[in-house]
Formats: sequence, structure tokens, C-alpha cells
Amino acid sequence: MDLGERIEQARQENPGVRIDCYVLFESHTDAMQLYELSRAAGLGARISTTPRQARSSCGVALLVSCDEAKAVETIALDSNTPFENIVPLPNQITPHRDVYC
Amino acid sequence: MAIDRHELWGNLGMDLETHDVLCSVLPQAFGDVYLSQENRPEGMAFWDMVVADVHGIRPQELVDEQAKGRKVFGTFCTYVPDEVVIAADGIVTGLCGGSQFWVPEGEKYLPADMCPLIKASLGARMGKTCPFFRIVDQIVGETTCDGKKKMYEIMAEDVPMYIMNLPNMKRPQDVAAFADEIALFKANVEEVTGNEITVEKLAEAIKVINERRKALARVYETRKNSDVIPISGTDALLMMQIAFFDDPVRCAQMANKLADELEQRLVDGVSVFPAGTKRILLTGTPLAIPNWKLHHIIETSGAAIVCEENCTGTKFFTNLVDESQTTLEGMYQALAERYMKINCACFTPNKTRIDEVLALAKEYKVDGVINTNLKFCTTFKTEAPALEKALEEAGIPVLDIETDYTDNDAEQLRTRIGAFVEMLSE
Repeated sequence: MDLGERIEQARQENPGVRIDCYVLFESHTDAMQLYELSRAAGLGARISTTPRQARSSCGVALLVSCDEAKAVETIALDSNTPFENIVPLPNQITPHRDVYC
Repeated sequence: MAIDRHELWGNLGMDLETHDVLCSVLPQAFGDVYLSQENRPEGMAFWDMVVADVHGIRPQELVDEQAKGRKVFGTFCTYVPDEVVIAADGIVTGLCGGSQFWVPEGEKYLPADMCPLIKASLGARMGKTCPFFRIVDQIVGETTCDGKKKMYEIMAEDVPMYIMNLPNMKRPQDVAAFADEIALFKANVEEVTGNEITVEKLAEAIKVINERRKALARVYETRKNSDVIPISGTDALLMMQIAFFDDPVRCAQMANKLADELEQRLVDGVSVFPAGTKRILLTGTPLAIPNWKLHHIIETSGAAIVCEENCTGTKFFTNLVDESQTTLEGMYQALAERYMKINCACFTPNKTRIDEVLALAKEYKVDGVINTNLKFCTTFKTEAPALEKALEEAGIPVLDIETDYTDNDAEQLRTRIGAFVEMLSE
């Protein structure tokens, strides 16, 4: 499935829940490069931890709106910024969860 | 595939299975606390990156530097003079444990009624679940509180340990005694690194650390604005927490870059909190990474933290070391004078801390003060009534909170802090 289809599938599997996209990388330098290019293009990318639901190992990810995920993917491809995958996930952020580490 | 840090951690002798459990809880906590915030400064991306791979990026750098022959010194306290280590081309990394994850391991060696920072720190070393604790060539302890002193004795059985004798009074003879102690530390650092500390090298190191202090102070300066709050306290805390681990030159560069952005935000009127948000000064015990609980609860309860008067706040950067000295002895004295101005509750008397909190409350134009101490931190707990009395006499509302690293009291804290913030609005 291409990115758009995977986002749509995640939306269908999680009705009523916001779907976010996480761009995964091999290295933090690639993540920072795509972050800066995306921000320069006016996209709302944010540096994030890698959710466990997206990958079993930790590391730097890019959190983007799924509405902008295709644009971020295009920037990565055009700039030859290596990335592993773009993973759509139901909202992972709950500010009043009060579970700390 | 992402860079697999397991080889790095395995080479450090870490307990990989248990460490993986710790790694699995960080993303959720970071997301809830940091990614839930709106309109964060762009400059925070650097610190977000560091924390997203907190046990990978910097530990790998340290191991790479060790391979070139450099030595890594682990420290727990703002009284240990980084300048001496830097002057010998050594590297300093903070070690304080700020996670409940490490506490049970620490309790295998320490009484349960000891502060969580001490228990977590020992637990991180003995449980082999923190790379920084495994990387260090030597740990530098200090005679601040009794709990840490006794913990160091246990840790010294597992890792090379050097203890600095920090006087607990601030008379001129105490400052002179600490200058002598710094001279002894210099000899230790020279022995560990194999590098001589010259006048020129120590002078340069003093400048490097002063530049870091100035950069961090610039960020704090922007938080004094009464109309615009350009950065959340939670973000400022992250910058401070990582300052203990990062290369000091890079830390200054990134903090200065952030300060540039925050100063522009003041010009543009860009605030991360709505107008009228109550301004809080947080004072008390340190908040070692990843202890974000209190900041997050306060800032999701209708208030903003605009200043931290603690070791992971103003204590870390306030006062510069005199750069005019031309002899090693003069520099030891200058270092001692600067470090002995830190107002920790391990000192007696410690009225200067009360004076400093009152002054900061005025400078940062706060509506109220939250005085917090980690459970079983006897020194901070004992001086809390005197601090609160002084604040009340100055007409500054104050809330006293005792907490630890667990999540158990989060709802209770939300209720108390919410009521305090509501009271500030009346």
C-alpha cells in the first residue's frame, strides 16, 4: 500500500481518532535535515521520539500531520534525505495521562 | 534499519533487557509532556532530538572521545567545578537519576526513606541501565547532603570515585578551604587524564563555562517579560537538564540560538501562554532528567513557570567566575568564590537562598511561588517553613509540595495546584 492508502486504512481502523504520521530514520542527522527542510517549506513538522507502536527501537522521528505527510515525503525524496518509513498511528499524545518515566 | 544502539550498550556492560523496558516508556511520556504543547520555539528541536535518543547520541559521542584517549568524569552536583576537568581536556557529564525506573534498584542498597534522586542515581549505576553511568572513567562526588555522602560510599565499591570536600558554611575560611579543595581536585584530574592543567588552560576553561552560563542566562532573561512568555517552563527545564550532559561549547551555541529566537518573540509578542496566565517561580530540589512531572502538571493547570530556582535552574548559571586571575591559585580562589555563592540547603545558615528567592520573585514578576522538595530531602524540607514565612511576609503566595518520581500523587497534585492557581486569580 502507498502512504495515502495506509493513512486511510488507519483512519478507518480508528474512527473518531486523529491520525498522526511519524517519519522514521536511520540516523538523527537525517531526521534533523528533513525537519529543517520541512519547516522551511512551511510544514508543521516536529521532532519526536519514535513511538513503540511504530518501531521497537528508540530514536529520533519526525511527527507530521497526515495531511502534510505526502508533502514531507516528497521533500525527503527530492532532497535525497534517507528515511525508513512513514507510519500513520492513532493519536499517541494525551497530556492529562500523568504517566511519567 | 535504525542505528542499533544495543552494540554500544552491550559493550558498556549494560543490562539490555531491563534497559529496553526503560526505553519503551520514554516516547509516551515525552509525547504527553512535550508534543502536547503548542507554539514551541523552533530552537527546542535540538533538545527534542537529544532526548529522543538520549541514551544513544551523546553516549556514542563520549565513547568516541574515549577512544581518542579523553577521559569522562561523571558528576552529581552544581558545586563540582567543570572548569578543572575541561582544562585537562576531560569531559564532564551529569549523572543524576530523575526516573522512578531506577528507584527500586537503588532501594536494594539504600534505605527506602531516602530521596528518590539518590536512590535512582545508585540504581542506575548498579542496575546497569544507564549508559552515562557505565561510560564514566571516574565519578566526582561531593559532601553536600548526608544521603549522597553515604550513597557515594556504596557506589565507590563499583566505580572509581573521587570526593570533593565541600564546606557547609560560607565564612571566608570556608571559601579558602574550598579553593584548596579545588587545587586537590586539579591534581586528581591531571592524574586521571594524564594532562597538565596550566594557567592558560584553566583560564580558557573558565571562559568556556562562563560562556555557557551567559547563554543559559540569556534564555532565562527573556522569561522576565511580564507581557509575553516566550517559552514554557517545561521547555526551559529540558534545556537545563540536558546542559548537564552536553558539550559546554555546543550547549552555549544552542542556548544562544534559542535566546535569539526568544528575544525576537518578545519583539513580536509571541507567547506560549494566553495573556493573564499566572506566573510561577518554582524553587527547591533539583529536577533531574526525565523528571518533568511537576512542570507538566503546573503548566497544564492554568499557570506558567517562568523561573526555576534550583540546581536545574538558576543555581547552574548564576554568577560568573572572575576571568582576571593570572595564577592557578588566584583561579582556584575565583572558582571557589563563585561556586560557594550557590545557595544549597546543605549550607548553614542559608538565609541567602531566601533572599535570592525573594529577589527572583520580583525580577520574574511572579504571581506565586511553589516550593517543592523531593520526599526525604531533609535539608530542603527543614528550611521550607522559613522560606514560606519570608514569602508570606513579602505578600507572595506560596504553595509547599513534597513529591517523588512516582505517578501516584499526580491527581492530588493537580487538585492542589489547580486550587492554588485559582486562588492567585482571586
